Amino acid sequence: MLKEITIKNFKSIANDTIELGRVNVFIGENGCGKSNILEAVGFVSAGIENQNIENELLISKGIRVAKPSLIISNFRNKKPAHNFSINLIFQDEEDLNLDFSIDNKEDFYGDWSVKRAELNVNKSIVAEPQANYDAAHKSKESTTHSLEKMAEGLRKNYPKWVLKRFLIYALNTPALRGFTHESRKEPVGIYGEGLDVLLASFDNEEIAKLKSYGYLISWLDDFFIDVQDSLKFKGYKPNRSGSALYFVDKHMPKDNSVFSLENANEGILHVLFYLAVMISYKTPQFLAIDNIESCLNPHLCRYLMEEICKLAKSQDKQLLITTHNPAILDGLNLFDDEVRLFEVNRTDKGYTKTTRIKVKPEIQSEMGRKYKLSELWTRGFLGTTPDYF
Amino acid sequence: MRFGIIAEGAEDQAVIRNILSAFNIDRSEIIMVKPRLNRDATDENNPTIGTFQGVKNACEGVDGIRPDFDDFFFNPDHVAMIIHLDTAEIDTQGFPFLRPIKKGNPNYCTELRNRVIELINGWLDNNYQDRVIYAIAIEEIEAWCLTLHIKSDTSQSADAKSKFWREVNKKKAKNANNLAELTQDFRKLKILKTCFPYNQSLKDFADSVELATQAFNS
Repeated sequence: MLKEITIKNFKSIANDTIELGRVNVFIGENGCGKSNILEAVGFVSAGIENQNIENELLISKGIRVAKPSLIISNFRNKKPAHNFSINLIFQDEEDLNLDFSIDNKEDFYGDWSVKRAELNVNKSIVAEPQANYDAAHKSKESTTHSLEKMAEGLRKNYPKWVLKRFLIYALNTPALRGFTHESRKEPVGIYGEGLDVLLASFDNEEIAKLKSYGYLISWLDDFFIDVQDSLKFKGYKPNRSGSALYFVDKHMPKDNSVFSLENANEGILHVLFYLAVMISYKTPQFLAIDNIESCLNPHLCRYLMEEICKLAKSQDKQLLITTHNPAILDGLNLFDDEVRLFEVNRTDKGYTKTTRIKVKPEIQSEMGRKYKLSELWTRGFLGTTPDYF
Repeated sequence: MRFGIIAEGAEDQAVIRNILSAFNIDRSEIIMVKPRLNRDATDENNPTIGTFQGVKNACEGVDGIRPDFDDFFFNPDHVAMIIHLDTAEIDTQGFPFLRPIKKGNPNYCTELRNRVIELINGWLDNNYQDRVIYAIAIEEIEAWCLTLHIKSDTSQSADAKSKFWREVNKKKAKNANNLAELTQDFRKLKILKTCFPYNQSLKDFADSVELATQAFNS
């Protein structure tokens, strides 16, 4: 598991270190840099996947691509940097340093390169694929060789190596409904594509587990995948969705209680997606969810978050989550060290700064009533309200 | 280390924030406590929000419970609450007896400040005294701001607010309606210190911030 990340000169993050837990929730006003944290990890993932990073790879991981001169930190009164770097420390004290660089900051078609990648295990460097960025261009072979060496080192030293598969999920309803297919990531796209196929791949145990969360949606009797997609020919998908996911409503007559996800509310699609991603071993072990609260009722937010925290432990997943909904916070137990809440602020100079929100141990007994995190947030005590509100 | 600010209004909070910046307290280390956030648009008509009375209510709480204080200190990193009041209000708010004799009294500012601090401590039932920093502006926070423009005792000014805005308009400053922008110079300790001789209550507040930061850092 990733224990700590230090990000330097990436977008609004001049220099910030975050000590991570298993479930990490980031809150902060719009534009404070929450998503930039997720994207920094995304860049590392892309850098491990390919030393020369094309925009397409970044987009496929859920990173908002920008002009290079905007991706490298760019602050008034601060000398512009020429590259950005990310340092990761893992649970077993191994650490990985990556420096990212681009030939010409103004060239928005240029590819990013991993200028330096250094993996330290037990304080010794086991793989340094490329000490000199220029050398990579001169000799493709040596670059490939050293990348392989690094990958080998990573595989050898990190049986649970998961960074390469890291994705940032940012669901949108048309993708969940099977109308759009912008992301081709497998097994499910970053916007929610392919949920039906993932569910169809579940074994009985996984399906049973998923269905045990049916209580979160009060009207839900059942859901199923129409593997033959035959219901389409009976008029169940007039909007021509590409998904074969169907729901059964417990309040409707049995002979007319089935409808496709075209007609389901957004909430259930989001909930089902998150739970499926958490339960499946085919989905990334380390993942991010941007704006998890989207389309969800506040009460649902709370209970979903509680379940996600439990699933993260049982399924051995690590998550980075952003939210703007206070109800999400009520599903977090901050006395559990694996569950962490961070507020993200911009400093006077505009730098993104992340601070873990701690709670005094002695108030544990009073948490329920007096210190409900959602209320503390809405009342401004988590320090993330815009100044002039 | 984090500081909270309870003030009569958002503009007052902004001025105080600039002063805190002179002591290297960053925006990200300040929580603007906003009594307004305890309410919604449905009861937004409450006239006490963002006023002297609003600060009083926050300090007094109800039945010994002071949510703005009790809840602020839920986090061990939250070390002190700054309470702001303009003394110009005390006469109309029912506390004219607090005002010492002004004429020929060289200690007028200090005496008035101490009496208002006592008043606040009474509202707090003497709770949180080691956690409170008092931002008592004599007679109003614009008198502090005025020290950036004129070099005479601004606490003696009959109407510091009008005088301050006249000075601003005279200079045709940028962002001329925004106290946060107009008091940016307070962020520089060197400039802030040059203002101390012209308003004792500003100096007293700054001194208490300096002492507190030293204490909390040690």
